[in-house]
Parts: sequence; C-alpha cells; structure tokens
Amino acid sequence: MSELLIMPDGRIYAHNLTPVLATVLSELNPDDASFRQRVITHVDSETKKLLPQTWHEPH
Amino acid sequence: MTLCLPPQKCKRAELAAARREAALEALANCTLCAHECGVNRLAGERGVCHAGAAARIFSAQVEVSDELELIPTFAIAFSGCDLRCSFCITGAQSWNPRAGKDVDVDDVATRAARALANGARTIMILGGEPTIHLPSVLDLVSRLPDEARLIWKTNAHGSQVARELLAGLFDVWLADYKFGNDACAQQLAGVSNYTAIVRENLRWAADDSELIVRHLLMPGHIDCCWRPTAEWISSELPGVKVNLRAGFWPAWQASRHPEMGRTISSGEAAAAWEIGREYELNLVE
Repeated sequence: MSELLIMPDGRIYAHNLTPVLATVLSELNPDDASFRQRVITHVDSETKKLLPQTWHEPH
Repeated sequence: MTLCLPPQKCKRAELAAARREAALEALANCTLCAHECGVNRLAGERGVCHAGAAARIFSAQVEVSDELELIPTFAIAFSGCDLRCSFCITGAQSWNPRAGKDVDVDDVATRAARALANGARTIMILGGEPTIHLPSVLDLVSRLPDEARLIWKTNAHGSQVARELLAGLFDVWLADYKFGNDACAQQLAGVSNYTAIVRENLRWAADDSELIVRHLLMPGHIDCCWRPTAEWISSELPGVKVNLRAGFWPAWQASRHPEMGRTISSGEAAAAWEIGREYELNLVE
C-alpha cells in the first residue's frame, strides 16, 4: 500500500512508495531526474504485469 | 538475561534465535523501550505502547522511498509504537498495535527472500516501532538469510535491554532524530527526556553498525528542532550519514498544533539545507 497527497499546486507527496507507483509517478514528470533514481532499473516479471502498457525499462 | 555468544562468534540467524527466549522473557517486566513501563505483557498488561505479547504487521512489500543506497527494500512494518507523534504518517497503524494482521514469520521470511531474488537490495524492519516487538523480530531475523543486508528502522527510543538484544544483528541502523529539544518532543510526541535517550541510542548504533540518521523537517520547527539536531550530529557523530526529509505532510493529528497544518515551505527547505551545509553534515538522499 502506498499513500499520495496531491497538493493544489500539483506537487505530489508519496509515502511507502512501491516500484510500480514510482514508475507511474516518474512518467508523470519524466524530467525529474532525482525522482527517477527511485525507478528500479530491473523489474521482475510479476511487477511488469502491473505496469502501464506504455512502460519501458529505463536505460 | 541470557544472551548468546559475542556477535562475531555467531551467525546472525543463530544469534537471533538464541536471543528470542530472552526477549520473550523480557515482556514479563517490559523495559524494551525507554519508557520502561515494567508491565507484564505476557499476562495481558499494557504499557504506553498498548502492545501485548503477540506482534502484528500492517505492511510487507517492496518499497523505493527510502535512502537510495537501500532501495529497493523489502519493508516489513510492525504495528504499534511507543511514541505518540501527533503528525505520524502511519498514525492509525502506529498508535494501534492491533492494526494489520498477526505476523507469520515463515511467510514473511519467504516473501523477503523472494524479493531479494527478484532484485531487492535490502530487508528493512520498521514500524510503528519494531523495538516493542523484539521477540517476533528476532524470530523473523532467525529465518532470514545471513547474507541479506538488514536495516533496522527505528525511532531510537529503545532501552539498554533492547540494545543488548539487537547488538550485531543489523547492517544498518536507520534512526530518527525527530526533535531538537525536550519541550518539542513532549508537546508533539508526549515523550519526556527525549534528547538524552535518542543521543544515547545513536552513539551506540554508530558503534554497532552503519548508522544513517533521519530528520523529518517539520513546519515551524527548523530552528528549534533541526538546527540543534544538526549541531549535535556535527559535533558528536561527524561524518555520519544524515537524510534530511522535506516531505512532511499534515497527517493524523498534526492539525492539533497550529504550526503543523501545512507542508514545508520552499524557504524553510532552503534554510534547512543551508544549516546542513553550515554544520558540514554528510547529507544523503
């Protein structure tokens, strides 16, 4: 379980962030290099099933 | 209390298994946290944490929101805590040791091992506050692979008894230093003598394992809480890794305190980082 707090100005706070949710959030703002470090570079097959079809493994 | 051989003579799993009985016996006159209530949890008495003899967990999953050097981590969160931080992000679970489900240590250990095989770098045990559940924690650790990198995520409010039971078991202590003075600790978490206790635990943890100190920036508490924390770390634990967290949000009962009903402003965050640089802290993400 993860929790999100979305502020009126668009900032998103996340708690107990899972790899799947981190991937989704990173796609919302792919220019956030700092956050992108939290997107795991290896995703196991079970997790891949949960990701958006547009997702591709980061390089 | 009967403890195992010195840590260097035992494998971690053996050490944890050998200490489990002593941890269970300690619940009969519980002094695991620094409140040292002395209640008999085995007989149904409840202290500040309200925890009984059986532990429950409210989360066990792979997470990526902790320090970059630790993630992905398989995080196992025990219900209940000995502090009463009004802003607790997991207040419903941390204030209630009955939250979640009974811990099945075999199942959790199996899932943790599977997570490691699938790319997780560490296993993290946290809460709530895991110190109040040491019998179950030791049972769990005794079933984890010796080569796993184990993280102890704690509020650093444990007792001498707890430290003796934990010695040599964890690779990293990820410890909170929440309040920079006893008045704020009393006001926001209902805890007395906080400063001396957390400092005692941090000094010990730095000798026992790798230590990462966390400080969650709180709105309106930069000068009273962060600055003294930074100053002490700089003076007493120079070079230790410090993670300054700016992601406060007004969770749980934070609104009981007027200054806590908002997130950190950009000005506060900038000032906090400047303080970190001023004291030449080893800040990590």
